[in-house]
Amino acid sequence: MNNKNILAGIALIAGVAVSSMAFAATNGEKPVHPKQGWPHEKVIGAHYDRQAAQRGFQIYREACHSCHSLNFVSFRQLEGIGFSEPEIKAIAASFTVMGEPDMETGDVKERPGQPFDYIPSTFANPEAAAASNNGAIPPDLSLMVKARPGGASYLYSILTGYREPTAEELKHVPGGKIPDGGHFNPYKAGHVIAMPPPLMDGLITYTEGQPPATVEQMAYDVSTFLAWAAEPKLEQRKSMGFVVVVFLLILTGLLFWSYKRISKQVLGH
Amino acid sequence: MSTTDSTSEHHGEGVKRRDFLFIAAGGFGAVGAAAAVWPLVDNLNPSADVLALSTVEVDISKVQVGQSIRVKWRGKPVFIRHRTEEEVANAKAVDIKELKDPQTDAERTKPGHEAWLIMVGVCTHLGCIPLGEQGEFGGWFCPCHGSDYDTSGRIRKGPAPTNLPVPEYTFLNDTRVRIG
Amino acid sequence: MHSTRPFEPKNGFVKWFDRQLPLFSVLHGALVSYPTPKNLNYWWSFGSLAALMLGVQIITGIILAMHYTPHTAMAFASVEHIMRDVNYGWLLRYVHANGASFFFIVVYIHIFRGLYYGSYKAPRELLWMLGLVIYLLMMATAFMGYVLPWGQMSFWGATVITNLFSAIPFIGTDLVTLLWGGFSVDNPTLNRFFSLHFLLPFVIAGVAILHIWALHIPGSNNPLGIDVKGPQDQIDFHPYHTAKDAFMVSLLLLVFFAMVFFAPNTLGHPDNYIQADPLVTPAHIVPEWYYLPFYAILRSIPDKLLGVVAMFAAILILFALPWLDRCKVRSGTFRPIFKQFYWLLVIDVIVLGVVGAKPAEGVWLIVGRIATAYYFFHFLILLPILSKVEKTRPLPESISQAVLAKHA
Repeated sequence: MNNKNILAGIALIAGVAVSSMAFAATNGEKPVHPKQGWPHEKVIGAHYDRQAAQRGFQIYREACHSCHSLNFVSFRQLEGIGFSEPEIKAIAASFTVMGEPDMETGDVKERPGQPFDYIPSTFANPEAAAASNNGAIPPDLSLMVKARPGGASYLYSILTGYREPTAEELKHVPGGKIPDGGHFNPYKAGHVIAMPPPLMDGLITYTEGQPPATVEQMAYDVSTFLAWAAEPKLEQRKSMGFVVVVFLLILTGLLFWSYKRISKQVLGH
Repeated sequence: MSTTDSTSEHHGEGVKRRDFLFIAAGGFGAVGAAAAVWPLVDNLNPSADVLALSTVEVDISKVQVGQSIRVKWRGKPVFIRHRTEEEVANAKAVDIKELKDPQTDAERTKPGHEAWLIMVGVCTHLGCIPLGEQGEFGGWFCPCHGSDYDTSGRIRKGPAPTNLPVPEYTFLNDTRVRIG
Repeated sequence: MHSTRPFEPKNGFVKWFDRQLPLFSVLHGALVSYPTPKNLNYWWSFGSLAALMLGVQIITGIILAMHYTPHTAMAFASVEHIMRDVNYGWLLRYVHANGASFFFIVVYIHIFRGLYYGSYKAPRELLWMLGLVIYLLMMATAFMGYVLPWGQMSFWGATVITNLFSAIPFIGTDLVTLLWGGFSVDNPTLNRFFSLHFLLPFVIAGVAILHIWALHIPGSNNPLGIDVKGPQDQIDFHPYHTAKDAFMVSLLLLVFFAMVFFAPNTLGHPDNYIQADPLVTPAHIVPEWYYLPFYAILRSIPDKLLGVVAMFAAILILFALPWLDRCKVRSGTFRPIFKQFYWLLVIDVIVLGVVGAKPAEGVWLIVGRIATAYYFFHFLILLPILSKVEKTRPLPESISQAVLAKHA
């Protein structure tokens, strides 16, 4: 019997698979984690930091929304980060969306947003977005946290990672210098990013009782918000997962025990 | 003899323990299977975006007396009719004892807004859309199977069993209505 | 195989039904009275587990199809609609996406079990080949399924794989145009892939039934690889194997759901959360992990046509395996040299998988070529020679004797 060998083989396959995933990741620097950690990355009791996510929404709105869309997030979904129904209505109404065709004239007019509307994009189409941004289309942020290896920490690292390159680092940048309209960021693949540093200390005025709006704090907040935007069902998923895994542990135990009993009955061992 | 007794007793306990184990394993398995069925069923219910659209707000300021508009609510047409005084009077004059589905006109409108009749425009017979200002009673007439509704949308003739249903709605002010 | 326990229904309805259509008899024969060798180990449960995963994929797939829109403009958004708005949509999608990976894990273990214990040898050649047909259908189905979310990897994976067919001389370009229904992977491609992705699992289920049928004629192989001599070597499928398989199902689901609930995107690629863009190719195009060994073979040959031929040959060669390995002894347990090379093959395939995930350059290219060469050497040269020259260890007289000796 070679069960042990086979088991070792499988462990090897799994290990190699995982390590090759990690390799295929990115040639930017390994993302750093914020000192607070991400409460939503916990296995048990995972949750989005509601306060941070709400502040993050404010940052998205005031600092990101002019360039980056958030196409898959609707106002009603903001309930998920703790906004109340009246708050959501007020937020929705403060955005202007394209309305339905007028029943008499057929004209499409703008109207205040309603909870069921999706957060409107600043640009009518990708071409318009490119035209306003030196030809680089600012990507939609709905799934950004899932679309980059490293997730929320990658975003956090990018937002806090802008600085002047050292002479050594500059050598690794393709072409040996930062191109026009580019910015050095060690966490970005290729180390050059088209986006100018979007955050600076005090850029956003938080409401009273909130922490000071440092770049780190804002990066943490907006990354939390965008992590939620990318995976709004995470809390439900992990809490349900806990129940399912515990349940299956018990069931597997019971079935193993049952199997051993039956084996003893019918095979004698 | 004592030996036989003790072994059979022992055996009996074993059987009981085994039964309990199998029942527990089977029971757990059954509970798990039943729980797994729920997501397979519940996904068929309306999704969050569909539920979010289940209220609409309508501006009725431009609907003149004698006119009506249709708006879509939950995928169905809602008739909003600004009734003439004559239509309202006709609707109120009906003796509700004669009706198949007895309802007063007041039960089908909001106090202070009696001129406005708001109802789901789906024939209660088999789901067609009745035509407005037609039929014997000056209300709605369903071309599919000839159901005839009066100016209050109540069934008066034909196969439909009940009146055109009035959805939940509120007047936010004199010119805005929220349906749903 | 002769059943040790005849089917004698007590229920009147069952009796009446079975007289006219012996459905209950067949099910009884397959799930209750099917006589199996006494000495099957846990690796023999992976056939049942594969059937379970096929069921999981079909059920979740049918439901996902109810919420999905196969149109280039809406496919990506409809998947997000499933993830965000449909009740339990996120769960169904993660189960389906990870289910594909687990189906392959289970099937790979099933295949490698067969390779070790010689389950492909007479009288089970047809059984083996039907299994390979299932495997090929799975690859096609999974490939088309991966295109449906219409992310960057979907689009570029589809582009690269369909372009493989352009290597065929003379008709290649026309064939690819035919596959696409246009001049690039576009809406017609997405639509036909959706249609076929829906259809093929039912074909798989059909072939799986043939596979099980073909199993029940000669009966199961066993870890000793020797024939069953009589009822003393056998045990009915129920309750022994039903209990064993139930335990293994639960164990598989435990690992599976731990993955679904706590690491659902680990086996996926982040780029597939970016909507397909025909103007931008991702930096590294990597196929799903279960294709990586074959992808490595494709890339290790510096000629387009030959690369494609080698890749398909790597799978098709397995159809000839019963005639390449003619050693009368089935189980690797009694083949000391074969056993060593078997593990070398396992390592070789893993190495190919790793190479497939790396950029095709430098040392990885060399490693890939060596591993590719070994793969073909193993099947085409080593096994035929081994089956002639290897001195096998003596086989036990019977299964029951070996079982007795083991538990003495």
